Amino acid sequence: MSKSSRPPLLRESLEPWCAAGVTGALRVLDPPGGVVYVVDGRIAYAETPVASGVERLLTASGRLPADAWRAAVTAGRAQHRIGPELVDAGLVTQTELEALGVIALYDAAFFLFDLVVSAHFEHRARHPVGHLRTLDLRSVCQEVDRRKRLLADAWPDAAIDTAAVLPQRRLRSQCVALTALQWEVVANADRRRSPIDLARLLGRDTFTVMLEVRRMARTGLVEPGRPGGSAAAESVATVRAKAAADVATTALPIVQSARHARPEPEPERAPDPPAAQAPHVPLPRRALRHEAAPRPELAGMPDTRVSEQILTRLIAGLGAL
Amino acid sequence: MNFWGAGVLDIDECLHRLMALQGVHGASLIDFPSGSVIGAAGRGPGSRDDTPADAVGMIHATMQTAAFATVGQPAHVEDIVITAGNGYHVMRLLSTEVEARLVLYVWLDRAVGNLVMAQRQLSAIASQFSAN
Repeated sequence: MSKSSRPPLLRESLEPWCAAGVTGALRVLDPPGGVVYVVDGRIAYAETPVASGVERLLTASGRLPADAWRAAVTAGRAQHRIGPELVDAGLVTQTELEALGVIALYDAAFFLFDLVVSAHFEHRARHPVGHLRTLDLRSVCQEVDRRKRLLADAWPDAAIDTAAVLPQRRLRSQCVALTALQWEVVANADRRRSPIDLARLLGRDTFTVMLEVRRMARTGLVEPGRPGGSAAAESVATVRAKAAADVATTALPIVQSARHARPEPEPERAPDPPAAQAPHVPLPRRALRHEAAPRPELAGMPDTRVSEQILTRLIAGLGAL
Repeated sequence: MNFWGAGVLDIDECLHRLMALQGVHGASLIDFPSGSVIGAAGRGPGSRDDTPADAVGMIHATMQTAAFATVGQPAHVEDIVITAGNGYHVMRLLSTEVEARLVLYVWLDRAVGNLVMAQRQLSAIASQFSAN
C-alpha cells in the first residue's frame, strides 16, 4: 500500500476502531502515557498525565472539595459511576460534568493525537467517571488542528509553554484589560512556574492556559523565562522534542517505507511481516465490515498534514518578523 | 409546556430546548477561552466552522470594552445581543461559581424569532449549569 510509508499517528490508530463502532480503550504505552476511550465507535474520553482531566478540573479549581471527589470515587468507581454519584449528590450538574468531560477530552487529545506511540486496544474497557458526551473522531481531529493553529497564531515558539512565565513588573501604558483566566495566570505566576505548571495548580485545562500566556506574551504583558524545570514541564518538552523528531523522519520516508506497515484491520494480511518490528497497535481480531467502505473525509489527511504544519510555522514565523 | 424546565438536563436536552424556540436557526454551547464547541444543534451562519470563532471574537471584544468601562471593578456581562441582517445573535455567558467560561449561543431569524422569549429560555437553561 502506498500510504503505509510511515508509522501511524495515534489519531490514525483510532480510525479502524471508530469505524468498526467498538467500545474499549486505546492505551498509550510510550511516554507521556494516556488512554483514549471509545464508546460505540465515538470518542468518549481521553486522558494523559500532561493534560488536565475531569478530576483536576473539578478539584484543583476549587469547584469541588477533594474529599467529595474521593467519596464519589469510592462509591462509584467499580460500577463506572463516579459522575452520576456526583450529580445525584447535587455537587455538580449533569451539564457541567458533560462540559468538563469535553474540555478534558480535547485537552488530552491535543497532546496525544499527533504522537507516534505504541498503543494497545483493550476491548470493553470504560472510564470510571461513567458515560459522558461522545464525539466523532473527525470533530476531535478538527478541534486538535484548530488548537494547533490558534497556538501558532498567538505565539510561534512552542518553548514558551514549558518556560517560566515572567509578568512584566511595570506596564508602559496606563491600563490593561485581562480575562478572568489571564488574571489567574498573572496572580499565580511566581516567576518559576511554566504555563503547564500553572494549569495544574489552577485546575484549568492546559491548552487554554498555554493560549492565554501566548496571547499575553504577544501583547508584551509576560515574557518567557528559563525552562520551567518542573517534572510536568519537562515531560511535555520531552514529548514535543520526540514528536518533532518523528515529523522530521516522516519527511524522509525512504528509510522507513518497508518497515512500518500501517496497522489496518485487514485480516488477509495478518500472516506476513508485522509482528516482529511493529510496536504499534495490534490488529483487531474481528473482521471489520465498515472498513471496506472508503473514508472520504480522512483520505486526504495523512498527506496534507505535514505541509500544513510547515505552512502554519512559516506563516507564524513571518508574522513574528 | 413547562417553560422553565425544572428537571435535570444534559447538554443535548439544553440544545434541544433552544432549538424548540420559534424561528431559531441554530444553538451551541461554546467554551469561550479556548473557542471550542462543546455541543451544537441546527446550523450556524455561514460555514459551521466559522460560527464559534465569530461568536468568541465578539465576546472577547465585548469583554475588553466592558473591562475598560469599569476600571478596577471586575466586569460582569450577562448576555450579548447582535442584531444583524441575517437575524439576532444572542450569546449568554454562564456564570457558574468557578467555571465562568461557557457561553450559550443562539441564532434567531429576524422576522420570525422572538428575542425576549429566547433570552428567557436562555436564563432557564443557564440555571441548569449551576449546582445551586
